Amino acid sequence: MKYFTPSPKKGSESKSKLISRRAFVLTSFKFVFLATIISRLFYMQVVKKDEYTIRSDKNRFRSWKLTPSRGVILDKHDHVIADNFQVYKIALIPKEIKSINNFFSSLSELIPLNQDEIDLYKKKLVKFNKYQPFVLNKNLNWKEFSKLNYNIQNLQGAQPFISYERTYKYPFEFSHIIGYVSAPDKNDLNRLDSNFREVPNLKIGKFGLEKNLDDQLLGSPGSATYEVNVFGKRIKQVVHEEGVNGNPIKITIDKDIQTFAHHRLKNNPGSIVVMDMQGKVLCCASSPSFDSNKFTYGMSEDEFKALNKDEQKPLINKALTTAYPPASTIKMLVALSALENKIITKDFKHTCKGDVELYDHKYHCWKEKGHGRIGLHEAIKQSCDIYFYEVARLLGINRLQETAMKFGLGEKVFQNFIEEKEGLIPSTTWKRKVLGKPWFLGETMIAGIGQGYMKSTNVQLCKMMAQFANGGYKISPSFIENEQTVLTEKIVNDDEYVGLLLKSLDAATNEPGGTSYASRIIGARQFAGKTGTAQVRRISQLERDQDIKNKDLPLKYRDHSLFVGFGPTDKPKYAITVIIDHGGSGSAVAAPIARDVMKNIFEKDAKVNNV
Amino acid sequence: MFRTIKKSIIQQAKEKFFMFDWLFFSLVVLLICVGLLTIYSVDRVDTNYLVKHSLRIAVSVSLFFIVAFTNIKFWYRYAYVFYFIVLGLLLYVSLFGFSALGAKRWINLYFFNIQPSELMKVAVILALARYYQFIKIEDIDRLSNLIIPLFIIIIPFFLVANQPDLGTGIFILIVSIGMLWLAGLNLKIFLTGLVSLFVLAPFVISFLKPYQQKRILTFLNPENDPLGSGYQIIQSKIAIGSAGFFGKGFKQGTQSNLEFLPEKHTDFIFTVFAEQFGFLGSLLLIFIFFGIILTILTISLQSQNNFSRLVCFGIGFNIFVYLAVNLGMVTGLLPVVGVPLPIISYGGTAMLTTMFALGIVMSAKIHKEYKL
Repeated sequence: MKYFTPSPKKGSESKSKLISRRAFVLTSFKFVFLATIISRLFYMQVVKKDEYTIRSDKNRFRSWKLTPSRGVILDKHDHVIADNFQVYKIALIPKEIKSINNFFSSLSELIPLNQDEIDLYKKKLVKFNKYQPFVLNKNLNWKEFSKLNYNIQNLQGAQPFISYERTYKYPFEFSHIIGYVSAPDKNDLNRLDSNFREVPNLKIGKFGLEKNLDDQLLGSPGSATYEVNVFGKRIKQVVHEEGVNGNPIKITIDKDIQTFAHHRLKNNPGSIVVMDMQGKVLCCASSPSFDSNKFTYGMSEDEFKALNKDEQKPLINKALTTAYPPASTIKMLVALSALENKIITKDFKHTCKGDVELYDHKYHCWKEKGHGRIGLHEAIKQSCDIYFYEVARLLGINRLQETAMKFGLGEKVFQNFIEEKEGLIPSTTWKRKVLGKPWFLGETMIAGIGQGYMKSTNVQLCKMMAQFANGGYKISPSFIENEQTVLTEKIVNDDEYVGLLLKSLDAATNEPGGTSYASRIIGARQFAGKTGTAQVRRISQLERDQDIKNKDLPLKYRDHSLFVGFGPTDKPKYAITVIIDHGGSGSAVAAPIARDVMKNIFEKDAKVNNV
Repeated sequence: MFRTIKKSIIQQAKEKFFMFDWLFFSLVVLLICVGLLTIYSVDRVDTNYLVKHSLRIAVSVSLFFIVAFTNIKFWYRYAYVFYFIVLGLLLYVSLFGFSALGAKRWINLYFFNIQPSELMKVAVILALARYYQFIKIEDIDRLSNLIIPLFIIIIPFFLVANQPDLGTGIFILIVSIGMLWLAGLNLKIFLTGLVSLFVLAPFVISFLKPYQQKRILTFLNPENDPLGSGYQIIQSKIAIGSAGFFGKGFKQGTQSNLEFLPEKHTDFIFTVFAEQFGFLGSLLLIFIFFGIILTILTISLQSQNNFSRLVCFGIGFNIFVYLAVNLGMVTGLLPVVGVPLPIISYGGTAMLTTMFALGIVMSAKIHKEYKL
């Protein structure tokens, strides 16, 4: 190895030797490189192999969640209320898109997109979670869809897919009770099973029964894994797991009654609830209404703002959400409570002079001249306020509260309806606890005519009415058809009292002098009920003196118009409640609507029976 | 008389045939086969790389044999002529060249696009070796003896760099510096050159036009490259790493089949190979390369004249630099420089030039007993 022998001086060695020596140094460098590159390869291919394999799989496998089809909602008679239809959609995978501008310009060559839409999508994409598929709010036709699939390699980050979209057959009639679906927000996703993450075009119930029954309607998503190339084009399917579609659900609402009620309400803001004696809700309409289909497709901001700001509150289900003073509709309950607690007998009489004074405060009857000496039957029939001030005074608020709670007032009627309100049945303990003030006797008196702190929702009043009409059996109202309910638990002690009160209601509607006599169904004693006129504020003495009419007041100060009823009177099958916001007196507005709805139901029943 | 001459020609041919290094040649053929196999694994009907590549191999191997059996004396005699012809071609492409991606590099022949800058690498090696054949070792460091080599190096460098192909330009520079060092220049001269480069560089750059400055910046910092060379490297590393010890199997490379790898058949062909054949395959491939490089070293050491010796060193060094930069790039050790893997990558001129250069090496071995 002559190359290793050190040369003493440059001049003394031969040129070829010098070249060889330097070549040898250079070769040593080459071996250093050889060692470097081999250790590098060893590090990558042996030490870090698993890490790189994961990254390689991440490159080539795309899993895609398969959106389950939402459960269909059927009415009592199997009419489809909420259905699904197949749509062609396109999703963007934000992390795969290199330039959003280029992407949209290529996309707009394949499917029709105008600049406004593009701007909107871009704006939304900025805020969007990068790892979730962003579904364009657009349904494609078959031609566009196939064109898109064909050109997918030129459109990295786009994924056409087939999905389902919710559609409502009666978008206005059922909007409040069925509710609507729309894309889940962050909180919804956190609440849902992790399985639902990244499900494209997932829509969840946001309101009404859609939300209430979401767990059953949703189903569970399937998933598929594809091997894709760098352009995101699917090469082959590796895994396919079928999801489970949502369960179809049959609800108790009768499409015909609901539709009729919806149209009967028309321009009156308010709500109608109809139940049968077991508590099955046949109709739950609220007005004004909105197009529930619009939420599925995403409403424009302006549209939503307009709905949200509307004074008549179309987005609120007035049957469940709004709590009103029950007014005179509570009188049967006051009477029942007094009878059961032996405060009064069924023959108790009192004199009505039009007003009564207590501690320098005047309490008025709706009839200025007064009803004179009056018994229980007539007091209910004519809705005498003075009589019930007296009964309530004798009864006391706590006993009244106890009876009211037994009938389901002051607590939610349904389960899991976020929009449902509890209303309020006051007691002395409640006032001390919540308001920190002692109870006054005057408050007991106005509670006797359903004013003051007392607040009830439409469904609560309907439940109360149904429990009277079925003879005093406790019910748990429901919207689900298949649940069989047997009436076992009684909430009244004495059937006699209930019969008595129902008879008084019958008289109120079907005998001259009754508050809703004008709204009777002429010809047959089919329907009866109690009117209510709920004051929304205290009427001053000055106004009484000037005899200001309700309709002359600004809308928000006008009385709510209420009616609770049942029918047929001989063998009750249905209970109904109608509340019209600021509609005026119960007998003038709510009662005729209730009559029309009941008449419609009876006619329908008759038709079915004849066939 | 006639008979003796004829006999001696046969004799000569026989001798040459026995002097031919068949082991070396089989190593080269092995690499060619690896290249064919790898290109076949990524070839598609519409690209048809395999046929074109085979055609180029045929031409290049023929050239290799022609050059190998031509006396080294011929290359010694015509080294400068060759150099000037290539220089002429280089000038020609700068003026009329076929432009690809905005860079003028090509002369369009029938199935070859000749890239004079590739040929220049061999031409510079030949010219420098020729020059240093005569310089005595005592005079080698003299300034007057530095002027000609500097011109031999600088002129093509600027022409190539201006194409613009700064990468190849720098390759020419590196190989040339290697040559100068081998030729025996004192280390002090290199140090002086290095220092003066650092001092002068800012002035030179300030004289350059903005687009030229931009080119230099892109070269120095490829991550700014809009084509996204960072992405290429990541994908290449994933492909190599995920292959594991034994690889994913022939034609089973997911990274290359699903198009995640860029430049599969050219600069990133090692990645394609490594993904399919793993650490084991890569190791074998690198050993074959080193076998070739070491054989070239042996040949140069056995050479009887300094011209052959320098030419062989230069060519060996050239192949090594290509190998090193390419492997460094695909494994993420070096920045992305568009460099093919010698002998294996798809590409006409590179293949032709490499086989031509190897032909000269073989010629040096066959004719080592001949006087210049």
